[in-house]
Amino acid sequence: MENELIRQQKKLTLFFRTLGIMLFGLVLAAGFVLGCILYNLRPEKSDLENRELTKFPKITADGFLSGDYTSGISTWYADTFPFRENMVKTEWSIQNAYGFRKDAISAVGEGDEVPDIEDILASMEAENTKEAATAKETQETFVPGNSETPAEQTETEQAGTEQTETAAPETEVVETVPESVDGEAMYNMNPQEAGAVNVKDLVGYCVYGFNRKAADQYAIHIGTVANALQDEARVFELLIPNNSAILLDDQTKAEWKLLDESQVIKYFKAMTWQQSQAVKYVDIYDKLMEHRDEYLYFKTDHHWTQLGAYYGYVRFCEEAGLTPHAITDYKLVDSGPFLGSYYKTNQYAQLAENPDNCYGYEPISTNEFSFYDRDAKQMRNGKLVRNMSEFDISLKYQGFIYGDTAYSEAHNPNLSDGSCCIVVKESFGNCFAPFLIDHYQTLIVIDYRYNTDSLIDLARNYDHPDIIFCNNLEAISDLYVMEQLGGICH
Amino acid sequence: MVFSSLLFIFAFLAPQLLIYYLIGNHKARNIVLLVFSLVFYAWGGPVYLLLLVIECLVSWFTAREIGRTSFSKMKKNWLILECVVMIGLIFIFKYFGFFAWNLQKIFGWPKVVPEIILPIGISFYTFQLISYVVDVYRGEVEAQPRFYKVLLYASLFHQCIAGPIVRYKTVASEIDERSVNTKDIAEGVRRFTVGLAKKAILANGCAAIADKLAPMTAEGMSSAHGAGIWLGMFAYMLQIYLDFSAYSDMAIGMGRMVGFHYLENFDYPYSAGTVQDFWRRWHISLSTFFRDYVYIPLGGSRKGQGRTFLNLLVVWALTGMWHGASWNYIFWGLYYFVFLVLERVFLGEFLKRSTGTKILGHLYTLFVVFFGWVLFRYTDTAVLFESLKAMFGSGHAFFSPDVGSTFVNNIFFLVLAVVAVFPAGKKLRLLLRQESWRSKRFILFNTLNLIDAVTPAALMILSVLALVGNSYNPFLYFQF
Repeated sequence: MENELIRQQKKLTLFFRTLGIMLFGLVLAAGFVLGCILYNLRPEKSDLENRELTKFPKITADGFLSGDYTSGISTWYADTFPFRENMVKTEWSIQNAYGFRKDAISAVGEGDEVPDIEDILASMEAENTKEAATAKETQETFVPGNSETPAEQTETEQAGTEQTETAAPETEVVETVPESVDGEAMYNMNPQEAGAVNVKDLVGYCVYGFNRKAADQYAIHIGTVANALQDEARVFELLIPNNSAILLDDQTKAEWKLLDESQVIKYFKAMTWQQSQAVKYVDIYDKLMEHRDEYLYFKTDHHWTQLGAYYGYVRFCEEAGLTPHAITDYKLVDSGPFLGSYYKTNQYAQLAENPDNCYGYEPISTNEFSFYDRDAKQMRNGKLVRNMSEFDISLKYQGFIYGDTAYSEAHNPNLSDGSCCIVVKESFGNCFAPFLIDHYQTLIVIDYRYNTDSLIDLARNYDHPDIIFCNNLEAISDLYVMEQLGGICH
Repeated sequence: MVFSSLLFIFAFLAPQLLIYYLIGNHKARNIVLLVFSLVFYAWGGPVYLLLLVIECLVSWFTAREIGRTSFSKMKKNWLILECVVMIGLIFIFKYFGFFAWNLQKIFGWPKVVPEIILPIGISFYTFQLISYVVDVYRGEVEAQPRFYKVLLYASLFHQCIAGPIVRYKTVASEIDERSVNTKDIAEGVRRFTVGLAKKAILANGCAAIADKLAPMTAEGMSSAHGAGIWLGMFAYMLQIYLDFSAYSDMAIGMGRMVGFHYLENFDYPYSAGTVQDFWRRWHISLSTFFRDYVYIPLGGSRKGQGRTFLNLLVVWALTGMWHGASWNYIFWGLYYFVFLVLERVFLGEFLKRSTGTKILGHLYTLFVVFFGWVLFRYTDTAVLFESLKAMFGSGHAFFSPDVGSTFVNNIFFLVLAVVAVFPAGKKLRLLLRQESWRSKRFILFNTLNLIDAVTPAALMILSVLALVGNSYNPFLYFQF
C-alpha cells in the first residue's frame, strides 16, 4: 500500500514536471515564432510612447567589430517585438499595483533661479508711460479684420464660464467623420516629452524648471524679428504658464518647490524688452488665474484646453485692438475621452481613472486650412478643428490643426483687407491659432521645430502682418528648441 | 547579449535548446554548446573573442604540459607562465588604465592615460582558467587533452561573462559525459525563470528607485535628499543581490537544463549573522577562489595571528580590486577586512553568545553590508562623501515630497523584494512539500505540483512583459 502510494506520487510528480516543461517550452516557442519568424508583425511606430521605433542597424566594419552592430540588433529586436504596445500597457498596469498610487510626486522644482530684474522693470515702466499715447494711436490706425459684431468683453467672459460649467456633453455634439491624411492616423505628435510630472487629486501637474540661458535666447530671437520688422509688422509675445502655476494652491506649490511663474514671465518680458521695445507683450497669467476654476488645462496632458487658449485669445485681442468673439459664438466639437502625455509617459493609473474630455471650438468664418506636414513634400487640406472621437484616446489633441505641422495656412472667405497673422508656436499654439482666422484674411501657423524658412522673409510677403510668438514656458526651457527657433528668426 | 533580453530568450536560448535536444550525440552536443557560446560572447564585440581564445589556448597548453611532465620544477614553471600570462592580461585590460591614472596624478606621468575597453567577463573566465591550471598542478584534476573542451569550459555562455566562477573539477566529468533527465530539465526551467523574474521584475524595479533617489553623479547629488539616499541605497542593496543572484540562478538553471550541475553561488546572504557569515553566503565562488588559491597558499591562519591578518589584508584588497579598477572598490574590500578582523578578535564570539546577541548580529551585519554598498556604488569619491553627508543631514535637506511619494508608490513592490532576498519563501515551499509527501493528501500534493508546473511559464510571461517596456537592463556584474 505504502509502495503503491509512493509509486503514484512519483508518477504524478513526473506528470507535473513534464507539464511544467511543456508550458515553458510553449512560451519559448511562441516567443520564437513571434520574434524570429513573423517579421511582418513588427511595429515601426509607437503610439503609446509617441516615437518611431528602432530601425534595424546598418552593418559597417567598425560597428561590427566594436559590437555596436550586434547591440543595435538587440535593441531593434526588443523595441519592435510584435504586440509590444499591448505588452507595455499590460506591464504598466502591473506596475500600478506596486504601491498606493494616488498622488505621485516624481520630482520637485529645480532649475535656475529667476534673476532680479527690478531695474529693468523700472526702466520699462518709465518707457511704457512715455510711449503709451503713441501706442494707442498705432492700435487705432491698424486693426486688421475687425469686421465682426463687437461683443461686450464682460459678456464674453461670462459666457465662457457658463459654457464650461454647464459641461459640454449637454451641448450639441458635432458628428464629423474623422479624417486622416492618406488614410493614416496622424503622427504629427508633439515630441515635447512631458517632463517631470506630479499627480495630485487625480490630476497631473508639470514640474517646471526655469532655464535662464534658454529664456535669454528666446528673448534674443523675438527681439531679432521685431527689430528687423520694426515698421513692417507688429510682434506679440504670448507666454503660456504651466497648469501647476495656475491650478495648484500655494501650499502645494511650496511643497513641490515650484517657481513663481509670474516672476518667470516678468523675466521673459524684461529680457524681450531689452532686446526690442517694439514687442508687445500679451500677459495672460492674470486672465487665466481669474478663470482657474474652469477647464483651462487637461488633467492627463501637458497642454491647455481650447477653453484655456480662448482666454489667451481674448487677452491677445485686447492687446491687438481686436474684438474677441464670445465663446458661445463657436460650434462645440466634442472629441470624447482623452488620455494625454502625462498618462502616456508615466502610466499613472489614477490619471486613467480620471480621463479628460477633449472639446474644440470650430472657427466661425471657416474651418478649412492647408498645411505642409513635417516632410514638407506637398500641401494637404484639413480642418482647423476636427472631431477626433473615433481616434485613439491618446490622439485627441491632434484635432487642432492636425497636430504639429510644419506650416499651415488658412484663408478667411469673409475678409479681403489683406490682413495677415503669423503664429510662431510649439504645440500649445495648436488650439490657440484657430481663433484668429476670424480676424484676419490670412492665418499662417509655423512650428519652428519643423520649419527652417526665414520668418522675416515670410512676413515681408504680407502687408503689416501681426506676428505672435505663442509658446509654453516648459516647452521653451530647452536650449535645443531655442536653437530651432533661432533657425527661423532671420 | 544579456540573459534578460528578448533576443537572448527567444532568438538564442530557444533554438539552442531545440537543437541540443534534437541531437543525441554527446560530442555534437558539446559542439552545439561551443558554437552558441562563441556567438554569445562575440555578440558584445567579436574582437575580444580572440582574447578569450588566446587565454584558453595558453591554459590548455600549460595544463597539458603540467600533466605531461613529471618534474616538479617544470610543472611549477608552466604554472608560473600561466599565472604571468593570465594576470598580465587581466592587468593590461582591467587595471592598466587605473594605474596609469594614479601615476599621472602622483608624478604627472604618463601624459595621456590609455583608455582600454574592459572585455566582457574577463575577470570570470580568467579566474576560471587559473583555477583549472592550478588544480591540474595540484593533481586534483586531469589535464584536458582536447582544446575545444577547455574552450567550451571557459566560454560556456551560462557562466562565461557573469559567473559563477565554475571550477573545472566541478564540471570536468560533465564536459566529457553527461546526461539529462526530466527532473534536471524541470529544475533547470524553474531556476532559470525564477532568476529571470528576479532580474527583469525585481532587480530592475529596485534599480529604478535607486537611480532616482541615490544619484551617482555630482549634478544629481546636488539635488538629492538625505531620506532619498537612505531609501535609494536600500533599494540598491536589494538590487545588487537580486541582480547578481538572478544571473547565477539563470546560469545554474540553464546548465541544469543541459546536464551541468554548477555549485550554488549565493545562500541568502542578507540573513547572515556576522560579516564572516555574509561572505560565506555572498558570491561563494569568488570567496572560495580567493580562499583556495590565495589565502591558504599564503599560510591561511596557520602561521600566527599577525600573519593571518596580513593574509586577510591581501585577500580583501584583491577582492576589492577584482570588483573594479577604482579606489572605492579597494576601500570596499579593506572595509570588510576591518570587520572580519574585529570578528576574529572578539566580535564574532560575542555575537554568538545568546539569542539577543544573535539578533544584534543580524542587525549589525545588515548595517555593515548597507554601508559597504554605499562605498561600492560611488566610484567618484567626492560624490561618495556628498552622499554620506546627505544621509546624515549635512548640506542637504533631509526630506522631500518625492521621496515620500516614491516610497508609498512602491511599498508593495519593496515588500516583495525584501521577501525575495530572505529564505522564508524557500522554506515554506520545502515545508509544504514535505507535508504533502508525509500526510499523503493528494489535494495538497497535486496543488503544489500544479503550482510548480505553472509557475515557470507564468514567471516567464511576466518577465517578458517587464523586459519589453523596460529600457534599464544592464547586469551590474558585467563590469567585472
